[in-house]
Amino acid sequence: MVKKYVVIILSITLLTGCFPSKKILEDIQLITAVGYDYHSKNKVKLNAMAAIPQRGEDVPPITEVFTGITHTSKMARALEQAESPKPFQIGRLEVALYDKKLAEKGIYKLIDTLQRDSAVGRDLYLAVVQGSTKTLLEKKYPLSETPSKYLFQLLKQNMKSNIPATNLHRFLYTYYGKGMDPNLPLLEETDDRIKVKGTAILKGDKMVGQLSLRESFMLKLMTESFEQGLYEVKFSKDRFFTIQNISSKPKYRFKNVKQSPEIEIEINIQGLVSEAAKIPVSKPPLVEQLEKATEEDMHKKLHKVVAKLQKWNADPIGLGDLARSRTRGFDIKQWERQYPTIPIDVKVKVDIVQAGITE
Amino acid sequence: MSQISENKQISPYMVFYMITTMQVGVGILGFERYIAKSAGHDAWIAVVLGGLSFNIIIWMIYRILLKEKTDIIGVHRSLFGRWIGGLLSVLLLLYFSSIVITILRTYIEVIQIWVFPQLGTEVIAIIFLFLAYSYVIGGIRVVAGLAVLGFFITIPLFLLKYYALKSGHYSNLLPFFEHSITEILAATKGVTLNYVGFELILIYLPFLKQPEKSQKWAHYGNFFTIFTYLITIVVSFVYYNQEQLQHTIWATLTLWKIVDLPFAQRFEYAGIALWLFVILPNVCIGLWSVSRGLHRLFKIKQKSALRALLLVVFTACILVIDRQQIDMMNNTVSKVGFYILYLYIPFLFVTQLIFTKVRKTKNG
Repeated sequence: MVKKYVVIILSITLLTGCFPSKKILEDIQLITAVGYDYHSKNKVKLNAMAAIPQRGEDVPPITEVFTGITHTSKMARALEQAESPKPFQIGRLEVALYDKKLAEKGIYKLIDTLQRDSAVGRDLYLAVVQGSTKTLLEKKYPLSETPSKYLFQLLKQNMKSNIPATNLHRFLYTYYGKGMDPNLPLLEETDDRIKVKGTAILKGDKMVGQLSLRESFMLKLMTESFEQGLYEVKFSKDRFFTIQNISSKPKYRFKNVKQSPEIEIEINIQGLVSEAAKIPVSKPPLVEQLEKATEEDMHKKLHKVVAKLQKWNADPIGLGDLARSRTRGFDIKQWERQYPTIPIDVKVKVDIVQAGITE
Repeated sequence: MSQISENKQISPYMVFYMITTMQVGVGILGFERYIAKSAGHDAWIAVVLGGLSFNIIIWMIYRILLKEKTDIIGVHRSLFGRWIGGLLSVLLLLYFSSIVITILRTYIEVIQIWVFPQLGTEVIAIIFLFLAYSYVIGGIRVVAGLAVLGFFITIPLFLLKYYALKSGHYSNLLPFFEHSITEILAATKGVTLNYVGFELILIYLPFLKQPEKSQKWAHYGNFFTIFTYLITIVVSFVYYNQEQLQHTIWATLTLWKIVDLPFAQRFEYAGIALWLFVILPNVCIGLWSVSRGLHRLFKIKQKSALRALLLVVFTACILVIDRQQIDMMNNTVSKVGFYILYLYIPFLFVTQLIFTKVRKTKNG
């Protein structure tokens, strides 16, 4: 019996010394956003933003940006460490930004360090920034307490309605996967705001082109099912109306994949007219006309987006992978050769289900 | 089987928990990429085929042991005599200990990579083995109870699959049956490590009350394991694509990262901690069985055998250092397990059939 207690007491007293250092919130610096800027051919500038909480209730945290220039981003963190009074932790990282020049050179190496770190979550947002990420992270924005919080909410909200949804997992999924290419949101800093400018289209890990915000919405329609978003259509001269998307769903049809493939994308949209000044929307024939006008308008724009994607030889919709899942003995190499010239037809079916509470 | 008093025996249905717990070990956290290497998105077929084939092995084990009404050590002795039989038993016990070492060392690696990078192998191993010792010393009933506990504690983890399915791509599983039969069979071989462990029943079977009745529970246990693995691999295939899977060492663990509960932003830490309740019964059943085997073979006290065994397991754990070695250890145990289950057990089964025939003609 005595032996038992001796063992217990010994393990309590002796083994505690073996445990790793504790991470107490007050003693560490949480990095919530990082930005990478192009510096020279082999070097990047890493900007890490930390929100430092202040004493007292209701006092917003102040933000600090630490900058380091090195070949590898982990080393950059060690350099920044030299300026910080507390050790860095990246467990709460929410956003990682890359400047456009870097994105054009390729960003996989930088993203790889993030995915390798077990502390980083999979729902981390990635984005490309037009301009320096350093100035974007250093600025104060009246709309939000810290730039990282601003970015996080901005991206989250826009990915629901305007731009294709991506995060670290989704990026890696499309980067590694065959027959698909990644896309990332494109941000820009304007005065005291951060603005979603559109979508950066990547081939592998290199940015090859960009879509505007409206075009990004078109891409979103073709890639995923979602339940939000607004779309403005010109009805006739100086008469416009806005359709609010209630549910949209793309369907894909492939023909003759093995020899000369043809693709048809059909998008079904259920919407409601949310703004229609000067248009008497409640009349049934008119509703049909509105539907038709929307369909034609979208059709044109969708085709333009598809043409751009094919020109860049990038496949953010993942058509190659969809074709694979429907074809036995699919040849990805042949598909990739053919992709820029495959005829892709996009059909839109709009169904206006209601027009608000007034008549 | 009468030599074991009833108050040391366990109920027949307990074998259900003991078999599933032994089968679902640390492998499930990252087995997907190994079998997907050969059979791609059709690898889930291998999971089912491999699992079903083990039902035959379980049936054979029961036939072998029930005929002699003893454990594998007794069977070895009566078939091959004292020396050759003893040697075979020692080899088998060596294999069982290597299963324990593999499970423990792999779990320690998971803890080190995901939670405490600075924590040394020896520290975790000491704590773990102390804990295991305190359970194993309580006997097979305590160990079996631990298996039941582990089963019910970890079953809610199934619910987490919802988060992965929510953002999944179901077309990843299509088209079905695109791989050739040889590719699927190659993957089936790779599945083995995930199902091994249940053969410890070779030693603890005499401790079951009415072992004849327990056979159906053993099969149910195996079916439950098939179900677990099938769900796991399908969810991983839906969440990752094949190329990405090859870059992900612990697919299931990484999948927990996306679980986003309002009160816990990062679930994988809780998941790894909960997984202790899967690993602990695993290690305990293994330790108990090997020490019991040593006790039967060498006429030493089970307690002293257990202590010596713990020392061996501890040393072996420390000697294995990096990822490559752990990977190699897993592959080797998997291969040995494959041959023991698919070649040695059927061989034993046939030999025993012949022996009983010969004995009958001699006596008759």
